[in-house]
Amino acid sequence: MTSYHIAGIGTAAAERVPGGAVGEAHVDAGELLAAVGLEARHAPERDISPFELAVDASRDALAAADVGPPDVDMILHLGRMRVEYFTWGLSLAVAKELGHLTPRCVDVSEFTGPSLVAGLRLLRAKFRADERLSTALLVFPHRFSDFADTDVPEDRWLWPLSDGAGALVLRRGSGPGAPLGSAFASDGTAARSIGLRSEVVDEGPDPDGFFNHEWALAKYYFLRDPEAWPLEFEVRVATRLADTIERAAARAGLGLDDLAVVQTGYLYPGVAERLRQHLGLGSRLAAHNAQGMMGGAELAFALQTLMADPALRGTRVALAGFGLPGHFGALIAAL
Amino acid sequence: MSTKWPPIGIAGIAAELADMRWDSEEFARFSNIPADVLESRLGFREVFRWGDGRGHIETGVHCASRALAGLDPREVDLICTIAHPYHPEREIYGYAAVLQDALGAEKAELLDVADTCASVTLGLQMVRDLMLSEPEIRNVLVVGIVTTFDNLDLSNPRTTWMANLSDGAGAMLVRRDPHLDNFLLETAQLVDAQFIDDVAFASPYMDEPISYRTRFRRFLPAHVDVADKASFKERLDEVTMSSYIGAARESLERSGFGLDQVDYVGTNRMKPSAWRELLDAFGLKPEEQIKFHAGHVGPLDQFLFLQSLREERRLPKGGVAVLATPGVGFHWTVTTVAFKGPRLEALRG
Repeated sequence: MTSYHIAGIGTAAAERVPGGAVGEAHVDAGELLAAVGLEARHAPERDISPFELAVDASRDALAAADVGPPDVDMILHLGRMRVEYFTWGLSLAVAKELGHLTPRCVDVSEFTGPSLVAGLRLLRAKFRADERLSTALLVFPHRFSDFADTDVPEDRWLWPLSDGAGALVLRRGSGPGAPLGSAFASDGTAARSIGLRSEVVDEGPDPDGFFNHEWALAKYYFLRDPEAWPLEFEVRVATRLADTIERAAARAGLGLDDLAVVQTGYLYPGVAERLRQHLGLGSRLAAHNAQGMMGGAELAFALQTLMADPALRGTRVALAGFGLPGHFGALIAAL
Repeated sequence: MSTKWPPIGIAGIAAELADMRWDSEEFARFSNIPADVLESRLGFREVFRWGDGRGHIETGVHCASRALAGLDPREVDLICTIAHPYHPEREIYGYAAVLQDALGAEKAELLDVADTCASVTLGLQMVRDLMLSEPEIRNVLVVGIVTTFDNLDLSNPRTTWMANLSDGAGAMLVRRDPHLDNFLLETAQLVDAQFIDDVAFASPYMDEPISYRTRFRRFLPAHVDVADKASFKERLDEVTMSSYIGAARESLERSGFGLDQVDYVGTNRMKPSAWRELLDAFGLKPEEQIKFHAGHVGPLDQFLFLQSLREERRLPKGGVAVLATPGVGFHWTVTTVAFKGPRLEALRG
């Protein structure tokens, strides 16, 4: 049963920082690329809000689909909430900014799988459950680059964290991007492996200007066991991701040989190699590391390329990936 | 009749108020709002907040265990938390991950629906949609904890309308099972995004409120505030009741009922005058409805309502209840729940 197709894809990103310029005082660029896979990351020079990223990507997707905001029946936003950019619902903020005040709006701040894949799965259910839903806007910003401390080499595995957003316009009916099957898994115990620390990042209290400091407090992710984590995570991701890809293909009534491409989001090179071997995919496994880690939003950049490739028209592809600390997902789509 | 609806319903419910209670007299001393105004105009006699006795994280886990009612946690397919419950490392992983780990629900997928008080209805709708779309999903835990009390400045006259906020925890097991005594039916949602900027977080010493447009990274405490209360109230009053009733009508009609067939309305705690006006639309009277004396526990009011509906055996012959809640920003949402029995059979003709 076809529920929707992808009518337009939009993307947005903060300023690009080449991989060689990230933490260069601490880790050799070649080693960083080989071990972590960091080709580039996106981080703002000053600031950019998830809202700005979401709106830019949404406008881009609507233009690509040739759809006006009044045609949107529903906005679904996926993205972990940050108190620094608090909102009652980013979907509502996007609706207001687009000048369309009354679409149904839903915000999802925790989800299993990469954001693009999780969003496609949730909207598949929405399209199936509500025959009135004709056009939906799926938007998934990611704004966590500042949570990576590029002065701590032990945490270099987190340096790919990037700021960007993807947005998709989905329309009822058959067409490219129709979902065929999906599978997901979360490992709650993985949450124990990454911590959060806070630091004062300016000169400290200044009686004359203390309350106006813009950057008084910073938060950083850190690996609780930086020695053991890379290998443990590599095995965990490769195993769980392989399982979700196989289950998604089975639910679509397909085998792995039926897939033209298994397109993932960001993958550490070690994970990619294990996954390639485990599934026997060879060159059909494509990781997208060019934009860094965007919690699944980087898949929107990859999907733009896939859908523009005439050689892939009419094929089936898997979209898959992981989200920190332990979320995995895969969705099979017909292009 | 029963086969018309998908066999998805509520199989377990557990809700608790926070451990520290303030009665209206004590609350009046903190807020400078007279106790009789609290009771007669705002409609609550007590509020609850988290004290030192119990942690909200643990209470949520406890409620989830109770809602499972003996079901092996490994049988849970999905954990859906609502309203992005607070915990110290929420920027890394959500409360759903905490629950998965604590309960041993190792195969559960995770989800959080974060649309303020409307999270309960929109969460139930998302869960039901997924269960309809994916037959392999059988058991879903919906869990919420509320910790909003500390975000209120009781001395702020612009937020008096929110003064009744209470804290608590609740959990619900939604299950695919034809033997359940109820059906979780359609949810309707009406939205007006013009209000997204009206209610914001603000801090002393800050000229501008905290906004999703700009970054807030300071040490100051943040409290809910309203930029222009008069304008906000005027615009909201114009649309709120009609939107509420419009959502109820849509939810009921899509479920196969009319407004006049509803037996119980489980809504957010609201001032008595608004409560009477809302019930009028259903042809119901306040004295026939379940009474609550506690303040508004965010999206958990509906959990407490469903728990009372069961404990007080309000629908021994079946019937129809609606869960109705707005959400700041603004949403108006309604979910219909039908309880099996001769009355439901009669309603369905």
